[in-house]
Amino acid sequence: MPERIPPEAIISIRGLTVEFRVARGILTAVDNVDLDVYRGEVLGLAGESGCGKSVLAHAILKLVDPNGYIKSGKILFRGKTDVLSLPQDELRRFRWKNAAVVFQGAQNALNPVMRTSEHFLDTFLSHDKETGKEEIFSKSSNLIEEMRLDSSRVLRMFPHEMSGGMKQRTISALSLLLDPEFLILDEPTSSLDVLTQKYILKLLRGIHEETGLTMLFITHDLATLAEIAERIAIMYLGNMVEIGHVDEVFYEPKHPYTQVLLKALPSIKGDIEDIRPLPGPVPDPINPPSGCRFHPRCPHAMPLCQETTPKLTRVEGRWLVACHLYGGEAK
Amino acid sequence: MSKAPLLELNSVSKLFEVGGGLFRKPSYIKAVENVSLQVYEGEAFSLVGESGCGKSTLGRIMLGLAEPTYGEVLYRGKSIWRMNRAEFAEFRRSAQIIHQDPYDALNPMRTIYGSLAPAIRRHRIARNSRECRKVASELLELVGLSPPEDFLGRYPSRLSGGQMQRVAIARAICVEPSFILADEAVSMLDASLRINIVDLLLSLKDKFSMACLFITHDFGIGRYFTRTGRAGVMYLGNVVEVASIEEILNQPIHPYTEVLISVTPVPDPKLAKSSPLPPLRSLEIPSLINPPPGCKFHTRCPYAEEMCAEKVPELVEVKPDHFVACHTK
Repeated sequence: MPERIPPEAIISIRGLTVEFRVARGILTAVDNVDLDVYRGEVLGLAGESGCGKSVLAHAILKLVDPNGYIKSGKILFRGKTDVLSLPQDELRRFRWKNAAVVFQGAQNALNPVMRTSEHFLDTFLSHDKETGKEEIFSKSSNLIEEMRLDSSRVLRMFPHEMSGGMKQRTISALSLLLDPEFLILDEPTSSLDVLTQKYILKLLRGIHEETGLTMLFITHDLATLAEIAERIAIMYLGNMVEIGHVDEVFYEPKHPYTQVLLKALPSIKGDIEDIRPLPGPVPDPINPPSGCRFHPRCPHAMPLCQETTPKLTRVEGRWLVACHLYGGEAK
Repeated sequence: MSKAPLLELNSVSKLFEVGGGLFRKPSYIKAVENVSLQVYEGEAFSLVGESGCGKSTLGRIMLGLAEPTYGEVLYRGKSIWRMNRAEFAEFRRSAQIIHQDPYDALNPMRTIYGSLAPAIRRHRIARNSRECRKVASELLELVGLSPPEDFLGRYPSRLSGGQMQRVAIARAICVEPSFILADEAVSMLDASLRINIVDLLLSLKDKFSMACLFITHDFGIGRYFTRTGRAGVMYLGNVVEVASIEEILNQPIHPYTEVLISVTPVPDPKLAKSSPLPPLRSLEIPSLINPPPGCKFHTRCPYAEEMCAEKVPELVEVKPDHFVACHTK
């Protein structure tokens, strides 16, 4: 079957499966997933912990923990280059220059005995040895200022002298140092208090609007995605279940899992009586249910759901749902 | 409210010494400063604040786990630090805590039964081990871990975060407390699981008519827990506003409460994208060692007046049952 890659896709994930060897057997963290990230968008990737969203995002850079491996699939960059088959030196260039990542708990990613300036210098020189120090510093200052930090102060600071919010903003500035076209943010605001979180979301949104930087924003917190994302993708137990525009998915969720997930969110707005807990227990990820993995908890489950895994199917425009209710054919 | 409070704090402060040495004078952090608060029998109360505002220290003081530097803690009208041993032991039985991290709260080397049994035996709820096992089974059933035989012999490492938090709840309620403190009890759990645990807490609270103080940084879950009950907001060691949660959310009076509500994420794309940044004068939270004089919020407050830098505002009733500590209101 010829692959359909939309012309404006910067990253196209096709049939990606990532497995982990664990004490009790093989855990399929990402199971045959397709996903496109379009140039210039903010795509939100959400799901409960353990659904495979972080594993998926890291696999885009061919980063997998030592006990895991990419079993099959392709990661196409601009529809052509398969990241997974790049030789080591090209892969190195791809990371940071084409695609950069801000990891979860990134505040701890800074070396405690290095000043901010050394972090910027180190990162730049390891990818580009030609540019002079002056130029690197002026670029670093600009990026730090863009994060509304005092660059002359911050560049001279050690990590322990900075607050969590400052470190997070410094790391975000660092990730933009080599002008990546694509930025992956893995739970970048989860460990921050709500005020700093709001501030950083506004900053990232501003940078996106100014430069058109493509972002993949991963979080378990759907409310954060409501604020920053244009499109969102929902994962459940290693499967992609729904992808659509953020308004479509929030206001008229199609997949039963998305529906119950949104109903389980407490909020300061809306009717408390409408909030419902998720039905049923979380299945064992090593022995996931047959067919559609959500069927044991699904209020609309049919006999078919136990037998065949529904495929992501277009319901309208770019709105995709993997559910037999919407005619999702077998995978 | 006319009822007598179950637990009462009178102008409580807690100071921590930092950075002292042999030849150096220590500085002090006022983790909690001059807080007065009442918790009534059977009440659901939410205490909301950002990390570092002193809400956990305040919780520890309420449970008698930390002695306040100044002020008094009264349980059913009696000062807990003037109780005799037997009375204090009885108070400690009646006031229980559920921690944020169930992984830390349960001993990894003990089975679930091994974690529950000492509490059951110690407070003489069961006389022999057969009775004890029966009580433990009933408890697990009560917190939704069934069949209990499946769980009694398991170690914490074989439980999920939500299941572990259920065990922690079972252990807290096994001594039939009249007051439960839930300190960020659901913030480590997935957003989708939080409701389940809060629902469990609420049903147990009603069943055993316990009072429950829910400490959280998230107004959304605080509202879900409290429903129509009361809530308090803390900032840098002070309680700045106390009222019913609905009134706080719909008509906040303290400028800090206003800010905190405005930055609380809402799962609604149109609302979330259109909400502006609050008009704060500074993003950085002042240091607790050298807090600003007067109202601690004045350096960031958009409405600050001259007086705010000079005088500490008292918590006063500005509307019936609505208390605020702010000069500008």
